[in-house]
Amino acid sequence: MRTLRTFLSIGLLLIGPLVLAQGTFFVLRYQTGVPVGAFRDYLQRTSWSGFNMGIRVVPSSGFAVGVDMAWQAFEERKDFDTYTFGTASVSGVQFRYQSTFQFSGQAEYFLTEGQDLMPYVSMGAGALRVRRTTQFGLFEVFENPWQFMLKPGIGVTYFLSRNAELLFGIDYVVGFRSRELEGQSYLGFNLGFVFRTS
Amino acid sequence: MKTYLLAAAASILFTGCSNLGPEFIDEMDLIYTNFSPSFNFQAQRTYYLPDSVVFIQDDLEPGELPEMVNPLFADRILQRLRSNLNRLGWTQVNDYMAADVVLFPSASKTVVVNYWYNWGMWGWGFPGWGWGWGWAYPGFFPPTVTTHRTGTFFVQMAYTKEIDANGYMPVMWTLVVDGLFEGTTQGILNRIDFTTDQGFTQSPYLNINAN
Repeated sequence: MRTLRTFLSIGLLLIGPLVLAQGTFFVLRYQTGVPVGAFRDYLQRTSWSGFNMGIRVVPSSGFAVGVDMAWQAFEERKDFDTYTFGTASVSGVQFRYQSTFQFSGQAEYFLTEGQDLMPYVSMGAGALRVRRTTQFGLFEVFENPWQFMLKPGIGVTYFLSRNAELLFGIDYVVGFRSRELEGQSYLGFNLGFVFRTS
Repeated sequence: MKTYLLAAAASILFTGCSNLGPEFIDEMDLIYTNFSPSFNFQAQRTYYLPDSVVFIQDDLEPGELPEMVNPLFADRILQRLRSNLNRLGWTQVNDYMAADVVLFPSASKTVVVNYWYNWGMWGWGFPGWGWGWGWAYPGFFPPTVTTHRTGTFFVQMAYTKEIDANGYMPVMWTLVVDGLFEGTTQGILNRIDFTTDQGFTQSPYLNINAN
C-alpha cells in the first residue's frame, strides 16, 4: 500500500504540469505479461492481470514525452516437487506470487502522422518495485526490492474519433539486478486507448 | 469518447485479483530431510525403532514423562518407517544396544521446536542413556520449526555408538513432516503414508540394498 501511495504521489507531482500543457494525451491500457530471463526461471505463467496508464505531451511533431505507471500481477502453482540445497531436501507444493509496480519517464516517436494507423517506437526508464511471495507449505518467503528499469517498446494506434485512438503495443520491461534479486523482466502486451484533450 | 472511456475502465476492471492458492490440506504439507555427509550409511545394517511416538511438550519438567501420540497415528508412523527401512535393506532389531542406528520419532503441536535440544524430544530419557542429553548434527544444520495449527512429526536417526563426553548424540539423518493437522482420520493416515514414503524417496543414501 505504501508503494502505491509513493507511486501516486510522485506521479501527481510529475503529471501536474503536463496536464496544463498543450497537446496532452492520456493512455490507458490493459496489459498481459510474459516473464522472461531470470524471472522466467522463477515463474512461467502468463499474467492476465495488469494495467498501464500514462500521460504525454507533444513538444514537437511526431514526438511525445511523459510518464507511465503500471501494475502487473503474476502467480503460479508449482506442482509437488523436491528441492535440494546441499544435504537438505524439501518437498511440497509451492505457490509463487509476484506483482510489479512500474514508474517510468517515457518518450515516443511516431513513424507516420495524420494517418489512421500510426506506428510508434518508445523508450522508458524508471523504477520497478517487485513484491515477491513464495508460499511453501505453511512457510512464506517475502522479498520486495526496487530495481532500475528500462522499457523499450513498439506499437500502433488506430484512429477512432477526433479525441480517441485504439492502441496496441508491446513493451519489454527490463529489470536490472538488485542486491536481493536477479533482474525481473517481462514482455507486456498492451491493448487500450489514447485520449486526446485537444 | 465516453464509450471509449467506459471500455478503458472495463479493461482495468478485467484486471482481476489473485485466485490461486492452496485448495486442499495436503497442498500445505512439507517434507524435509537432511543428513550427515560424513556418515557412511552403507556400512550400517540394523536399526531400532521404539514402539511409541513422543508428543513434544514445552512445559515438561525434568524427570516428568511426556505424553505419547495417539496410537492410531503413532502406529501408522512407526509402521511406515519400518516398511520403508526394511524395503531399503535395513534390519530391525529389538535390542537398541545392538542396533547400528536408533530412530527417535516425535510429534509436536507446539509453536516453536528447538531442534538442537528440546526436553520433550526424547531428552527426558531413553532406556540406556538416562535423561538430559541433546543432539549433535555433524556436518549439517537442522531447521528451527515454527508451527501454527499444524501437526509436525520428526524422526531422528541417531548413531548411538558415538555419544560424546558431553552427552550429545550424533543425528545422521532427520525427517520433518509439517502440515495442517486437520481433515478426516483416514485423510490424515493417508498423508502420513505419503509424506513418510516421500521422506525416504528423497533420501536415496538410506538405500543399503546394494551391500
